[in-house]
Amino acid sequence: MRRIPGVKPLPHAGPTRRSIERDVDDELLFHLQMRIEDLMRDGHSRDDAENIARREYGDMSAARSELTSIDRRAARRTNWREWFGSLGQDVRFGARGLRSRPGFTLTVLITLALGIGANAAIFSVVDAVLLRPLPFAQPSSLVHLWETFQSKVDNRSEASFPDYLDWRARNKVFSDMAGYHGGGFLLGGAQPMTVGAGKTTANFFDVLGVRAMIGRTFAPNEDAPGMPRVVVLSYGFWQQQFAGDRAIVGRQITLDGAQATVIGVLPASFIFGRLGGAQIWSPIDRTAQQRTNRGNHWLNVVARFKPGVTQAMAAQDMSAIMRDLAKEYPQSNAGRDGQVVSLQDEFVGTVRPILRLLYCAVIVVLLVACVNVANLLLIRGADRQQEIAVRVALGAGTGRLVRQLLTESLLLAAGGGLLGLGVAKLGVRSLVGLMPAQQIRGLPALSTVGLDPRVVTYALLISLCAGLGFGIVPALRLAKPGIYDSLKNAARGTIGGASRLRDGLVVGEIALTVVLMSGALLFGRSLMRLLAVDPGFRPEHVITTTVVLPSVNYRDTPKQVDFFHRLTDRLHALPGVEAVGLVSRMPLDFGNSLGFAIVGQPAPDPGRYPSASYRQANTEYFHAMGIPLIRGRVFGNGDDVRSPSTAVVNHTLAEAYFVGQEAVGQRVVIGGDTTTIVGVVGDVPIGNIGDKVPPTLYLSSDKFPQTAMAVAVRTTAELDAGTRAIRQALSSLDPSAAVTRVTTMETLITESPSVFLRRFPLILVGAFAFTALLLAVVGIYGVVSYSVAQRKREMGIRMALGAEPRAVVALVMRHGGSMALGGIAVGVTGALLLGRFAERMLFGVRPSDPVTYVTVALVLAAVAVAATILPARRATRVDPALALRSE
Amino acid sequence: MDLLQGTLDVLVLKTLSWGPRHGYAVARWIKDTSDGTIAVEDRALYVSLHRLEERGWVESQWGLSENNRKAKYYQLTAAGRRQLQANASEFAAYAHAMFKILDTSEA
Repeated sequence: MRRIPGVKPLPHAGPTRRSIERDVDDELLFHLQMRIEDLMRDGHSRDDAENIARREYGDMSAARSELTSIDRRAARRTNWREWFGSLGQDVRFGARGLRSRPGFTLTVLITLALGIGANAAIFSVVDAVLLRPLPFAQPSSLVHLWETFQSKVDNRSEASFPDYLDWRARNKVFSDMAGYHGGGFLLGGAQPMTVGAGKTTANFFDVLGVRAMIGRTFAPNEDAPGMPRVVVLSYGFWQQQFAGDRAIVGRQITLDGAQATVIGVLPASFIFGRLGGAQIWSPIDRTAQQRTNRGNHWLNVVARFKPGVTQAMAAQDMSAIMRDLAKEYPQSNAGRDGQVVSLQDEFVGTVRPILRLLYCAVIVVLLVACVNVANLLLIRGADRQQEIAVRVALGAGTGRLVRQLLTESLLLAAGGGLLGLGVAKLGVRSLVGLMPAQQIRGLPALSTVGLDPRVVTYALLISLCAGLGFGIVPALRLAKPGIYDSLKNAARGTIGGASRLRDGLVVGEIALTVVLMSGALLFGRSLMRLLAVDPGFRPEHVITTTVVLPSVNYRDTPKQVDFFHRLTDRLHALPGVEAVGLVSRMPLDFGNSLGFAIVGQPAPDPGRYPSASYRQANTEYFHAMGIPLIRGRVFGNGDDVRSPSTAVVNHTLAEAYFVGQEAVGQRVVIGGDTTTIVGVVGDVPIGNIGDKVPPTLYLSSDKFPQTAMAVAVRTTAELDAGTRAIRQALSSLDPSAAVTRVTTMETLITESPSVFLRRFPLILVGAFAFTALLLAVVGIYGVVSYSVAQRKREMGIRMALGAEPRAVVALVMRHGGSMALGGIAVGVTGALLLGRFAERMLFGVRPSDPVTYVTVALVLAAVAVAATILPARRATRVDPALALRSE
Repeated sequence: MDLLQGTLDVLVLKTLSWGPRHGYAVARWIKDTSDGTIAVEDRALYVSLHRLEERGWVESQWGLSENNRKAKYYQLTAAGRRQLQANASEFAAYAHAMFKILDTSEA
């Protein structure tokens, strides 16, 4: 405060609780004394004067407390102002300090940017996929319904249409229920294209609580058989295909060769996870016959709870209905139950454990980064002991010093956080780039993932936490009162506890690194095991795509057969082509199954009919895919519409249903038609590689063709040339037909969920583990070199007394080695404890896999030795005389 | 005559505008200048002084009084001076409006 002119100031300390009270009392007393003296001068007696003065003053004790509280408030405010004022000073001071040590600062910033950036990137995905609510009205009350069968574990199927109708009519727990299934359309035009579709009951969008952005969604009864086709477009498709033209509503488009009317466009926010690729939505278009068959399961069902209904109540109600249906329709429903799954779980259930795991892994990376920075700060702090000792001597309090040091840490964290946002931006992009289109379609939230305000907030928050986290220990340690009892001592730079703390931190970061590396290796070995599984076919040199014909123009089977014959002929004529296979669904695609009866075997109980996956294939399919023929023959040119039905079965089916008998020659009844088994072929996966192969039955595509068939061409041609040739062949045959993406069989395997779901975490956890390893190396190197520098004198004396350089090297390496061993021991223990959480994501390796842990331990030990060699050699070059003199 | 709310603050600021003084001097000055018409409890005066200090319009310092006692001196800050000017003109406008109304009522 300015000196008041004309007043002789008295020394006065800053305000404290006690001093404020004293000041108020002093001021009051002064007032009373002055008044009493004045009054006595005017002739009053002392007693009189005192009474008058008190009366004039008013309630003394009330005044005291009132004045004290005003002054306290004022003092608090002043303190804050000063706190902030000196904070600015700390920031400037800290920034200057950091600038003056660019090497240290840069190391810390890069370390933090990696840790925080990776964290923000993974968080953005976790946030988009797991944390955001689904884009529907009250999404938490939406569920997905399934049928399950008792006979097989964890096996569920879509509902049959009659079952769906009964569920809808009989349940007491759902306010409404709707059905849908996926599909595709051939969109006609100058360039015909296949478009993903969702086909739904008329009330589908009402159940989800989604309104059309323009136009309308389906009206009741528009899903009845024979109604004119109306469609609703996704926002993206409308933008991309029709340039966002609002006049699209009411226009006609050509789907599968027939006209359809666009009645609306969905809002941009609408994405339905299980049909992420659906661009066109239409009412279900199955025939009346398909809608009355209880054995035909094709309808996915979503439902909305009535208010107050829980999942358990709903599951109970569904089971009750299914029990009744099993009694009423034993033939089709015996042994079937219902399942209720929340829609969120249905959409993200498979990726949730992976994302959780990745999030944990990335937190570990951040921890390692923080430990490293804490260590660097400790080391740097040791060099600053003199500076700090001087400041303590000049009267800086502990609190003030801690704050100054923390400010520096927070500056580093803020810088690291900002750089981290850049890292996160790149990270998110490559993260999404890593995922095959199929996966992104399944998790549509990924297409919009990025650095939104939530992610930025998150990054800043973890930066703050990190800054406090890595800053607090070194700050407290350095600012500890009593450490600098004498400046002379400080110059020696030996604080007993500090080196133990530094070593402990390095042990911790090695342990964390071990955990990450073990995880990465477990995934790596799982993937190797998985890819080593013989898929039963030879994927090399196979190019594949799906050909789609406009169904309206190809209603008759002979026309379909004829087209595909001409197509295979055309493809055969291309150079390098060895075989051209046709199949309704490729291996790795899930498909439908059918029930059958075996001629000559007793009729099974209801609900226990033999069942098999089925697909239609042509003669060359098995050859083209390299599926071995075990017995009998594959389809021939005679297996067509005119001849009696024939079937080829896989090895599993022959073993399962014809125990001890020859399968070839047996006859089975499928839907009333008798079919003769003519051959047995090897097993190929249906769905996931590595899963148990189900019994599979192939029918001749010449007899049961389809308008959409997958083509598998075994050829020596490269993918590009093959793609061009296939497209050319197709457009010359029929320009209204379209192909889906042309790709190699090997790519399909890589993109298949079972491979992807192991490769994806492998790549990321691997990257994290590598980062952690690098940081651990920096940590070991830093601490060992520092301790060598600190022990220069000791080394010098040892050398002077005749110690072999080798002994000095051993001394230093023992230091590094013991930290590494400690870290490895702790880390392996931790990894073994944590391993069981990842068990379900592994394949063919146990979480306690010894090879993994031995490898990790060896790698880390080797790395630790490497990181120690340089400082150890430096120790041997210490000149004894110089070292002694320097003290 | 009792004081209207807030007017005491203006009086205190005005008193200090002639130079720094301690609380007792401020009390004396207000009593003497108004010839005793304005009855202020000393307690209210000190509350006013401390409030003004909290707001930053007045600052204080301990010093020695004319009879060598330890006393707390107050002086106007720049912000306090501005506040006094603003309050004074506000008060004048208010008083002017009051007089106008009171004059017309009897007419």
